[in-house]
Amino acid sequence: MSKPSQQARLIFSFGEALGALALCLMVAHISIDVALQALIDLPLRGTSEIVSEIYMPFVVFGALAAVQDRREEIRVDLVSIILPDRINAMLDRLVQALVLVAALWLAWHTGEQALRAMMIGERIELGTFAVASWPGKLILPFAFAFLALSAAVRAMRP
Amino acid sequence: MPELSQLETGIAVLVAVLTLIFLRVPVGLALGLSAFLGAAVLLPMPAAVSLMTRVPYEFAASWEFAAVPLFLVMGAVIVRAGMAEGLFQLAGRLLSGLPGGLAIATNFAGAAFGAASGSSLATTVAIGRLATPQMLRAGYDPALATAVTACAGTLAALIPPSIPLIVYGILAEQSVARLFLAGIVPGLLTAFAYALMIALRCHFNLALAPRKSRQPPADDLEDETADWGVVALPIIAIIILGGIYSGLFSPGQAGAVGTVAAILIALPRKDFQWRDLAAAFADAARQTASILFVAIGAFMLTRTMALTGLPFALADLVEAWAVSPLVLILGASLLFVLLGMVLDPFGVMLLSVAVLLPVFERLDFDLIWLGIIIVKYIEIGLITPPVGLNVFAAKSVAPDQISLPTIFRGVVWFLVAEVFVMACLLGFPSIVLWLPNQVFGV
Repeated sequence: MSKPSQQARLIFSFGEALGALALCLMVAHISIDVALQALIDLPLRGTSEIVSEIYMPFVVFGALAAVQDRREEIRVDLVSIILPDRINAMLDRLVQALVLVAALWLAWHTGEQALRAMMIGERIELGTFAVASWPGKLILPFAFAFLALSAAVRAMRP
Repeated sequence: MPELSQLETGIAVLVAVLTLIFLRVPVGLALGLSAFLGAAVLLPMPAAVSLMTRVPYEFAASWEFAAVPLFLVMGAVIVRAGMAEGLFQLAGRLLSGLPGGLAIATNFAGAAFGAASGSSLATTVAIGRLATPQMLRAGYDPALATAVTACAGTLAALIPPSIPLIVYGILAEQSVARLFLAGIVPGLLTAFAYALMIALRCHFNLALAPRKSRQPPADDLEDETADWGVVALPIIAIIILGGIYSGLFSPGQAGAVGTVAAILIALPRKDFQWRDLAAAFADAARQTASILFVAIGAFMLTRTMALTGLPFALADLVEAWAVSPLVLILGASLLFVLLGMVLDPFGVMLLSVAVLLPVFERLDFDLIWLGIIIVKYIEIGLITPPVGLNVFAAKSVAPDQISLPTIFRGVVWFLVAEVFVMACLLGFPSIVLWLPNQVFGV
């Protein structure tokens, strides 16, 4: 594997690790919340807001590029059975180009939204405390940029 | 814009979805891109861009959808800890006296494993890795030995906790707890229909499976994993279902509690290390990204479909033609089966929720029953050629000399059993609704 590909794969693994870490924290947080509710009737406040606004965006988007890089994305390989290898390879490059453009477009627009949210310090008020919601938005542009990179790497692969 | 143009846009969007999917564009992107193009035709460009680019975050930042990664990580821990082994061995011992006993054991082990893992593909791989070599060694027909693992895996889609039922419940705004209960009887009915079909075939065709004497003795099936594996999965299933229906926690929270239970059971084992746990979390993160990326595309499509008015026009058309509910559901069934043969099953479900749900809702169909019917068709789509994902998964753990056509040949008999099950579920909706109505009331 070429050096740029290896470096790109490190980036995808980093995203995947972020997703896995967020998932691990989410399991721990919810479990503690359930245990406290059951044992002393005192659940952790703001659990659903923290899970949805912070953990979930990281869990859903963190590993997006790794999925694409490992060819684990959900797609239908029906025509590939019929078409010759040369056409399949060409088609795959075209699809990767489409993924690249769409991912960059999404990275740009979600990036704008994340920046706006960060500038105004977007947060959800929960009585005596608030949960910042902008960090969850910040993962999206990075995830889509990583996805674009993974499409570029895949398109260049022989 | 005149109404016809909106409808034409809706139809063009659906054609674009199918074309892009056939061109091997990832299903999530095919749905999202077509949805955006449709919105761009119907709305001013800045409004279309704003509408669509907000969907990924709005969709992902969801407490309800947290159940998906939580159950996926629980399933990943269960698979990596090898918890299927004991269950399969116990079933093998109990059922070895029946014709095709090992195949029937595989079928029920798949149902039980699905009750804890929630993932069809994971169940097929976990059960297939164990059962296929043993059945082949015992002299079973390769088509039967591989097809049963592919089909047993599909039972996980219905028997709770089920990832497709969670996604359907959220998109169709139906209670996930009620859907989980509604899936139990159809799931068991399918498992028993499969078992009966296997027993009858093996009884009448001795070449399919050896009689008991040629099967491996029980001692061959035993190892140190047997005892703990037998109790581990039922414990997890009881914690999950008991917690949900006693009101101790929600279906989403059940995923977290089930994961902790699976980790506590797996970690003391010598062959389950911390790095296996890390790998299970990474597996689940990738599976979540893969599944919810499609769901995000479907959610975008739902918004565009609402703009085009196509689902409502379809509902009007069905009402105007006074189509009987039976004809409607049979027509939809044909559509689901045909789409399921060529599309990813998840895509079929999400597409049908986006386009057809308003039609069924308008005609007062019970959406819990409908959810089970749609997920049954997803199950069937997992084993029908040419895109049978579970068949591909069964092939991945079968010896190289067993070809895909061989597995599909074995699957045909399971599809015959599915026709019987579907006839029961379509003809007698109370099979689906009885249990949830008993627990929650009508």
